Amino acid sequence: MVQEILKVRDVKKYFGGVMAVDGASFSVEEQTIKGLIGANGAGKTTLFNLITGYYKLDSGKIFFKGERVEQLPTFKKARIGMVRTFQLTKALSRMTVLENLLLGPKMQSGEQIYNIFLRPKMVADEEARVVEKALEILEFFDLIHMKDDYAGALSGGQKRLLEMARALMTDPKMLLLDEPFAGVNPTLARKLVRHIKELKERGMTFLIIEHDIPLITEVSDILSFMNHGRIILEGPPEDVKHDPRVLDAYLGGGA
Amino acid sequence: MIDYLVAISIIVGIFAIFAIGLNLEWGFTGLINFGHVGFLAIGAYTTVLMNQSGAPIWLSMASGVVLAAFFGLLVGIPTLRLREDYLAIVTIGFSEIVRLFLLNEEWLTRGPMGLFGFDRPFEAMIPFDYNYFLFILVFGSLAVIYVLLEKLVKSPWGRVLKSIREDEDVASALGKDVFRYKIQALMIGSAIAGLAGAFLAFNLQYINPRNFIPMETFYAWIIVVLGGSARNKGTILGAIIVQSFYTGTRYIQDYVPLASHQMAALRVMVIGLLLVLLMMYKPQGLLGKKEELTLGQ
Repeated sequence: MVQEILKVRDVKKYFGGVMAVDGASFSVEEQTIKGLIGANGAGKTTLFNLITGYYKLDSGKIFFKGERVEQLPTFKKARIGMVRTFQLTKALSRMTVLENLLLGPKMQSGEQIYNIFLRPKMVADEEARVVEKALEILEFFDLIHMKDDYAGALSGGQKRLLEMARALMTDPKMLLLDEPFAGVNPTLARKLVRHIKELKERGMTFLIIEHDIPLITEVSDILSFMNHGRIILEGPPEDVKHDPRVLDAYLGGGA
Repeated sequence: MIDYLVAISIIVGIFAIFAIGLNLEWGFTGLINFGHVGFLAIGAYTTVLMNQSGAPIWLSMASGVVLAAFFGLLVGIPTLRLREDYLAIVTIGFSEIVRLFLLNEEWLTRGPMGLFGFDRPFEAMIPFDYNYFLFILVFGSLAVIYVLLEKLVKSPWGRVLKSIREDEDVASALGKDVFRYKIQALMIGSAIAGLAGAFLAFNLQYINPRNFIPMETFYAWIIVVLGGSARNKGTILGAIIVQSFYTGTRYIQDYVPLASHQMAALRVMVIGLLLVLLMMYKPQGLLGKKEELTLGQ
């Protein structure tokens, strides 16, 4: 039976007098990939910020795995498995690439002061496992040769990969990716698409904002189209991308 | 001559302890604490007042450290959820409140007259010059604090602090309770400042609200920035340079044709010039890593 892992109901957000998200409602089913497209300013990133708790909603409800979560702070949402990446990449510049990844796993014993002094063995063992996992992921993302470089020294595309790699380190149930392919070279982007699908097969759910229509069509099971702060169209990617309203938004002509 | 070096070293050691606490807050966590001296004052006054009311000196010192940490918690709770600049404003206000409290609540602190006449650890048992013992005590403590802090900042806990310094949005996206870590950093930094306060009292044998003016906070900042933020070794080096310069120039007073207030002004000018040169030629600090500065976001 198909479960809805994320359910967004009539979510609204104003900035001053401007309505950024105007009653958006949609659901994401478990173990699917949903693409979210829409013109610039349609409210996609704001919606992400609302779902992940960076902004407080003015009204509406958000359910994650059946629980109301709109009041939870971001870090608690991450702990129950909802992890995001950022449109403007946020590499932790003055930390190495490897350190960026090591930060990912949730609730590490070495993140508690008393464990560092009282259970050094446990902390060291866990750290060794985390490092091993990080190296595997870096290998996949073609970043292994840069593991000891400062993250700030990476190119734009590499920072994007780093962010996704770091998010994967948390073992998320659901990943929200904000333009994961922007600035990534086409070969690697294809590889990412394959990898996202593979992760889905292993049980992960995705919500992806993306402007690259061919890529998002390829990766998504369902595509949602957002306009003026609402989800106005949902369906199989091929249908959605040929809808006149979508063509209008992307090819100009003031929707 | 040896006595003189020991006397200067004690001051260096106390300032190194004071500043290394700030380095945890600013260097590793990115917290802008402009009221660090407030915690120094709490440590010093608590130690002295507890001892004068009959508590053994070790217990008094421990109370000073704990109370400083507790005030770190009190200041942190309302401010650490806000962005950095608010913390800067609140902390500088806090340290002035502490100083003015000490100055005005004469029933407790004797106000501007200050406090003297209190025990120092093992004072009765030391057969040689007490300063030698204080020297060992201060540097022994500095060594222990240094080792513990290095262990902490190199642990996963320290990694979370650095991620908060770099971008706290990322830390929360990865499930880290940013607020909690900031509070911990501020409490530990404040506890360390409190310990430095106790040592300051032992060294001066007389404390007075004038010892705790905001300028002391900025000496700690100068030390941290000079040595290189997020380098505990650098902080110690910074303390050696700044305090030996400061104290050293006091002793050459007799040999230069300047009045003491002129000399004081000259000292500040030289420190300022030193900082300007540092920012021009080595902005990462003496032991800082150059690559870290050249990284754009």
